[in-house]
Amino acid sequence: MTHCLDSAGVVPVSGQAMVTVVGMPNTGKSTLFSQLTAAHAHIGNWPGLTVDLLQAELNLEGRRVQLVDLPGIYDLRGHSEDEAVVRRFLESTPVDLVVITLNASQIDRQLRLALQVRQLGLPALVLLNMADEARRFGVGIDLDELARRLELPVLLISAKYRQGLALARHAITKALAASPPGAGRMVLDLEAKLAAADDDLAAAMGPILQAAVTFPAQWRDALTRRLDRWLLHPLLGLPIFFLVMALMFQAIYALGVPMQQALSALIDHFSRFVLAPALASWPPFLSAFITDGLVLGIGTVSAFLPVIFLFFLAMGVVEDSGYLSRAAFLMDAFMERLGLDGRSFVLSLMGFGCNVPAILGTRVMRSSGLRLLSMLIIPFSLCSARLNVFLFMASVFFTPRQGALVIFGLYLLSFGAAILTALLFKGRFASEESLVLELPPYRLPTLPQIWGRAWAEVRHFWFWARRFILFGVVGIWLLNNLPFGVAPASAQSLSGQLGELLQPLLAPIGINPRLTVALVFGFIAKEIVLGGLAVIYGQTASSSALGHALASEVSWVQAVSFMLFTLLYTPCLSTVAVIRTESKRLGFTLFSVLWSLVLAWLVSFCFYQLAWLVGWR
Amino acid sequence: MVAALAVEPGLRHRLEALGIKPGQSLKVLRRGWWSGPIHLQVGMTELMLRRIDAARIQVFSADPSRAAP
Ligand SMILES: Nc1nc2c(ncn2[C@@H]2O[C@H](COP(=O)(O)OP(=O)(O)O)[C@@H](O)[C@H]2O)c(=O)[nH]1
Repeated sequence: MTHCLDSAGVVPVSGQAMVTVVGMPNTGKSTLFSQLTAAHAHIGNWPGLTVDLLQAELNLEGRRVQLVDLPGIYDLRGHSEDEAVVRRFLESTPVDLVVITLNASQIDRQLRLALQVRQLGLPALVLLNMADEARRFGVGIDLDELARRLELPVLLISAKYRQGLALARHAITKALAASPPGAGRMVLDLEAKLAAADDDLAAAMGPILQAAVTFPAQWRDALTRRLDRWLLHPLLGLPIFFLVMALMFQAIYALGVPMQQALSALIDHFSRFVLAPALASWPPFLSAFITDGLVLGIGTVSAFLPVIFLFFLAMGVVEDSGYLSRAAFLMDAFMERLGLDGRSFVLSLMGFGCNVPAILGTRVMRSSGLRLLSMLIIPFSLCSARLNVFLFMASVFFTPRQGALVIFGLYLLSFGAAILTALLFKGRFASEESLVLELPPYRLPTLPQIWGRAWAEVRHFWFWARRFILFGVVGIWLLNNLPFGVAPASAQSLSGQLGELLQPLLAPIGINPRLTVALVFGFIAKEIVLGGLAVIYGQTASSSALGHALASEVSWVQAVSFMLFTLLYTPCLSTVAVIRTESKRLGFTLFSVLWSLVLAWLVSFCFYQLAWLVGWR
Repeated sequence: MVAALAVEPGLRHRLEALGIKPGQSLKVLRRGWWSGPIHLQVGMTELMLRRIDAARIQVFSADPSRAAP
């Protein structure tokens, strides 16, 4: 199997049996899937389905099978998007075996899904996951009795701690041996079959549970109860939450920023000392295109990799420990009024470091309206790249005291813009589902698990974003360097001309043609705004020289207007790229870019014109 | 104890899958600040539910000291 993520899904592979994993959300399906397949999965592009399904080839004692992870569902007859996806999948794809994954400690309610699958008449097998928790909470299960009553093989496993996996593989092989290749069936009349049996289901569950399962006389998870008493405390809960977030944030950027700098220094060295001499004999335009354009593009993409990796390590801890749903509980009252939920808040906060991983992280939310609205507000989080620009501008135009106030004001505006956006658009991207979230018991995250996940995210980003970003970077480089022979980013270049052209629009907000070109640079990434300004002003020698040149041409009112615009418009090309790949909607992506431009212009306009009226110059 | 669910079918499926169905007993563990969500225990599962949704679950009290959500 190739690791190629963009190849169209190989669905289904002829001659190979099709095995799907079905289960409720948070039963450990993904964990099981990656343990079984050793992370060789790729995202299949299933025709007619709007979501990505994880698919991998599995070698079972010599027989090759395709394993597909379906989205977690509560009820085969449910009304959510994911539930519809699973139904459509079962109706349109011949399946040889369904692996039903249930949380053993919650078998009291999850058994229902197993009964539903059995109702469909598909060959199936039940894996009771989280054996460790069932034991800890005192849930006893008589496997033989359960298997006899369900008429399905039943195994107890612990995916996270790799217990019972070999037996599970063997059981899958054995179940498949009964069916010859190509015997897979699609489900006909799925709705009708389920509807007919709905009432019997409830009646059937009771006796099975009574015969095969013993529940503890009282709740046994004292640890979770004790922790919740503090972490969800009416007064202390929120301060603890903010403290945790602040620590996490500090950790990510204390480690990530030096790694980022080291990486870009490395690429810079390579470009200057290896690439530049090698290209010395090439025509100057071409060699500049490669060293400044292409290498800059690759540098821009790779600069995000360390932060994305660290972010997902941290996110993994917060999510796997069970704290993410507690955060949702704590912030929900506030976020509900904005049409969002507590998880969007956590992600927006993370966006203050870097917007890109925060947007990738919206995948924890399953409702598409909620995801889109979150993606719309995250780009307003003042990320560390923008902070760099602001720190520089503040030091040029203000005393340290004033500068601190300006920066603080920008942070407030960042929150304000996000809240305003949510309030304006919550009607359009309404979350179609009521928020009913499980609060799982606290769990200790394990390193291999969060490590694997972070690594997968980095690969995912690298794969999807690099093309998009390279195009953008190269395009803008061409804008700055065409027509042939102009000084880069000068008034004669295409972007210089664009700056002139946009004057009727940008003069009312105090942005002169040169600053416009800087904004064009900023569209790629805020990291290169300062470098861009240095090129535009021809002051690449030192930052203080650039500061002088800037201050001699631009007033502080203009500078603030520039900062306001920089804060609010499109954070960077990478953000646009991930919004595009995550939302899968071009229209939404354009809307998001456009809205941020409009808001940026309006805010800068109000500020600049008011300042003008008051007489600040 | 849950008496009845007066909710639209989508949410009813969800709630029933999470174990909230007529005849089932549930326990309110806490309520969030500022009319925030409610933290419930149903069988072996703990979950949070917004008040507007919780208000549609009709319950009768098994324990008089605990008010219905
Ligand atoms: N204690 C325990 N936790 C597990 C086990 N398997 C998975 N988990 C955890 O359960 C949570 C949900 O797992 P995930 O694979 O994301 O579930 P999915 O939503 O069904 O795909 C994660 O925090 C896992 O670390 C297990 O066997 N035992």
